[in-house]
Amino acid sequence: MLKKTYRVDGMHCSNCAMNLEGIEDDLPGIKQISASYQKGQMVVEFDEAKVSENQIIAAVEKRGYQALPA
Amino acid sequence: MNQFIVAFITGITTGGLSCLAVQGGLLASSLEQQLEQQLDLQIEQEIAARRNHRSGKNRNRILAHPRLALPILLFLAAKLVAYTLLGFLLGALGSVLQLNATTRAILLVAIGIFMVGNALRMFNVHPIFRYFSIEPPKFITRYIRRKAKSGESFFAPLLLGALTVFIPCGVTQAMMAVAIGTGNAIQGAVLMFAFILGTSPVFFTVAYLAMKLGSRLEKWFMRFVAVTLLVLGLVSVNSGLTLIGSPLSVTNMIQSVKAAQPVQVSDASLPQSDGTTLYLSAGNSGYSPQILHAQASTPITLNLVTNQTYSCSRSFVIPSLGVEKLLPSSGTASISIPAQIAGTIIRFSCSMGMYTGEIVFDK
Repeated sequence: MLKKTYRVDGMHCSNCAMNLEGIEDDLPGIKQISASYQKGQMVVEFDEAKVSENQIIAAVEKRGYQALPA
Repeated sequence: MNQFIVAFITGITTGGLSCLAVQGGLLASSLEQQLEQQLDLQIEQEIAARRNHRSGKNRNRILAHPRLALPILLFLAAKLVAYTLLGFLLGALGSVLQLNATTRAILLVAIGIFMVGNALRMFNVHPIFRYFSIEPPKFITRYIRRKAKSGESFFAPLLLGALTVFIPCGVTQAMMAVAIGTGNAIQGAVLMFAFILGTSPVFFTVAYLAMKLGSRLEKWFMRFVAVTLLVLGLVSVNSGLTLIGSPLSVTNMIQSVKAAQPVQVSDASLPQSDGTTLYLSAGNSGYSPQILHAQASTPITLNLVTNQTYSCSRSFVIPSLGVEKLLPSSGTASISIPAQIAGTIIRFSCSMGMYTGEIVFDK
């Protein structure tokens, strides 16, 4: 299990953080996402055997944001 | 009464858009499931009737289907009930706190700073302003999100509408603070009811259209909301400063300039003021005359005359003398003011700092 922090650009309210956390329901292998609008980042706990970092970044982009490894 | 109209207008002008920006996603996700089900059904029917007819046109037509209106209405109705209850609780909280003029002033200034901070956050001035946005606890957002996803039948929009109390937008948060400021459970409830009712038509219309327009207009809305929030915030800070009688408030600065001029407009129906007995009319739209001249070095009597006055001007405050008086809706109330030295200016206002005026002590 890996725990990685990403800087997220494009959030404009705390609802965006909730929106990003929704990715944990979409991608198998993600244990938990904790996003913060105030810090402009998200912490993802995931199983690297089941899901790749690229997949996570792509899922973030699909929701209209940009994630960069912090 | 005025306060509730202001709340309604705030709702209809900025609250609706601002709330939509925060809560719209929630509504959309609860509707999405239903839309997809409808879409599938429609497509099946289309296939049965005519093959090869799954064009984009069909999708648009289905999105404008009248059944979409019902879940939005349910969502808004639940939201209205939930926020009215919240207003009741906040008003009750305010009554327990027993707000006097000074604490109300502090609250108004704090609300103002909060609103200005939120406006600057929306303008992306600096990431530090993101801390003006209140983040609900994770377990609440997680619960709301799960419910939004499960979105079966009409239960979901109802529940989600009620749950929006946990994710209020900036304007709503400011209105919640005003509800505490009323210091009365019923008034708090009516205030929140008026505000949310005001937001509803905008919310409904935009939510309905947004299904087609998507997020293209969102940026536009946010700018509009930010500008309004900035103005409202500055007005609130100004009201707070007025309430503590600070000469720094814009209202008092203007009044000081006016006081230097000998012009005095008086209400014709009022008895004539002499130097020691003053008459002031407290009407629904403020105090008249706004500048009273009194004789220095002698105690004076200030008579406040009301005639079917229901606005906040009934709640009369002289911050520097610690005077707070609730006037009858019709009648006269007297306040004794001790002797003042020549050149003294005593500022008065309503308890919300909206309506103001001053007494100038001349030789």
